[in-house]
Amino acid sequence: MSVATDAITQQGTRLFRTLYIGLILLMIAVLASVVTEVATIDVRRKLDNALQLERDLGLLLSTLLDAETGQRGYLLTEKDAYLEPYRLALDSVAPILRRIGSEVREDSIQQLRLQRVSGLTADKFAELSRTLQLDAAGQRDSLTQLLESDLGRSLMDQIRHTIDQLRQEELSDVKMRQQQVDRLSAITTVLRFVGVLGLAFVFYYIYTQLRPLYARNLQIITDRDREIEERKRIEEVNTELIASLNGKNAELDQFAYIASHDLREPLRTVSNYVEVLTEDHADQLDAEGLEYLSVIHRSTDRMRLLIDSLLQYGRVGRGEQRNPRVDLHQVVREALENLHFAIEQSAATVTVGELPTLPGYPIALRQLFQNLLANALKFHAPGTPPVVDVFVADTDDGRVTLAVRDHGIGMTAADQDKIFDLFTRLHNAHTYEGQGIGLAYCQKIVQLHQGQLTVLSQPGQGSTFRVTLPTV
Amino acid sequence: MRKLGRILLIDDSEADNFIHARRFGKMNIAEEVVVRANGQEGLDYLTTPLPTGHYPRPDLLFLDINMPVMDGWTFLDTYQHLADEHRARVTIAMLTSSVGDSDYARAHAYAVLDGHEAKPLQKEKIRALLGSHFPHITHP
Repeated sequence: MSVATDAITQQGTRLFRTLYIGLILLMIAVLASVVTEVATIDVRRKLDNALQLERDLGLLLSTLLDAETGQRGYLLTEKDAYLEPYRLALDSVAPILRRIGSEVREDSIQQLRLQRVSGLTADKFAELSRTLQLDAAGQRDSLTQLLESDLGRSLMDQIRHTIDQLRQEELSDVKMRQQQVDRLSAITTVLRFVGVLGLAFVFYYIYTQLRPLYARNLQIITDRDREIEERKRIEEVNTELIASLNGKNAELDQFAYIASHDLREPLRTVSNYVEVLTEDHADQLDAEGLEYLSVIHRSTDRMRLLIDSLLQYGRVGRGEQRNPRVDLHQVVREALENLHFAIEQSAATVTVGELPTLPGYPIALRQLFQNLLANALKFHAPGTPPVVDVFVADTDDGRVTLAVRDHGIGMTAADQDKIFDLFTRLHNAHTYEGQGIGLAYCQKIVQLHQGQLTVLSQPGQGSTFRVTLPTV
Repeated sequence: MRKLGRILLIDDSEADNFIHARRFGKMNIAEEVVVRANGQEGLDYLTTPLPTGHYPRPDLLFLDINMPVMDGWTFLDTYQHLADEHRARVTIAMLTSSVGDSDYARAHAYAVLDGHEAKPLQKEKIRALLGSHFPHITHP
């Protein structure tokens, strides 16, 4: 029992541990996804920044080119409209530079480059402004000299170069981050894969552990169903048995009726005609013939008694209601009243003690005591009047033992085993008459009450019949 | 009146009828003993006028229960609804079973029955019956 309980506890612990492992694996898979996602967001932000920077750098370059182109056009045509891009550029360059500044604020090298671009841009505008001033002042020589110095072109080239550097740097940075994310993604993908695989194993393990439990429960339920089926079947068989027993009982009743009517009728006819012969034709018979007739008469009488006794035996307790309170004192008194002829004839002394009240079948109990008392009165030594006592011998929990004691001829131990069998007679009919039914009948009545009937006896020492009956 | 007018025996047992009729004759208690073999014959007899124009009207009727054609119970079912002139003055059922049987309870259920006796009807039983139902009859 405890071994089985331990096994179940161990199995439960294993299951929980596996469940924890499964949860940890699930968490790893989820974390891996989250980390990848966060890293990707960072890269995307960086990429947006790089695109913005790219766009602003392009804008700066084109603004400067526009300004230079406008300056050249003005110098050639002297038309004020050509100066429009130059003025616009003067206004817009500063915000563009500020935007770029915020876009590279996280990188100090880029900031240095931006400073250089800002410086070169300022130089470029200074150069442009100088040419315009020289032009306005009409100093053509100084102007030509300045233009031919290639200062403007050189500044422009330097700006272009630095912008390219800014661009390249930003691009390589983006590329590097992209590679980092790709590596992270590869790792987390493996992690996720391992997590999912582990989870699958965990689930499979739990399944294999739960499967037998489920199967066992299923088996228990199936067994129980089968047991219920079996019980139902047995009940049906019992019902059939009871029905068949009832049928048998009815048949027995019918048999008893037929026996009482059909067996007695021919017997009655025989005794009737014996009577007719004795009354009407006695003078035609000699003494021997008359004696034969008397033997026939006595035999038919015995046969009639035998049939009546058998019928009574067969119908113990039948057609009688169980009474919860039967006064045994009254039962014994009635039995003695029915036996008063035998008591008077044998000059017997019968003493009855205090007797209890118990549940039972009143008529059957009366017949029981009548039979036991009749026996006690019958089996006494010739010439000695019978002395019979009826008393409570023992009171146990829920049971009472009543005794009917005589001081008669008694019997041997071997005989005591036989007396409760049907048709057992210890003496021949001349000494003590009877059909050998009485005690078998008593036994049947006692069994009807779920009691016990025993005898204590020794030859010459009398017999005590003990009836043990339930009092509840 | 020193003896009964007519006794009717309804019984299928010839031996019983013989013994009972012989016993009534020996006791000399009736002018006439009529025997019928079953309930149907008994009813026919009771409801058919004699040559004198009167119905038989027995003083005493002994009715067996187990009979072929019509048994005692079926006979009683009809008999209890007959007019007085078709019935006997005293009706006794003859039961063959022992005390405590269902037949006894059943016999008590018929108000038309004046009593019941176990077969055979011995002299003592007959005397006791006459004594209780016909006290004015003198009998041996």
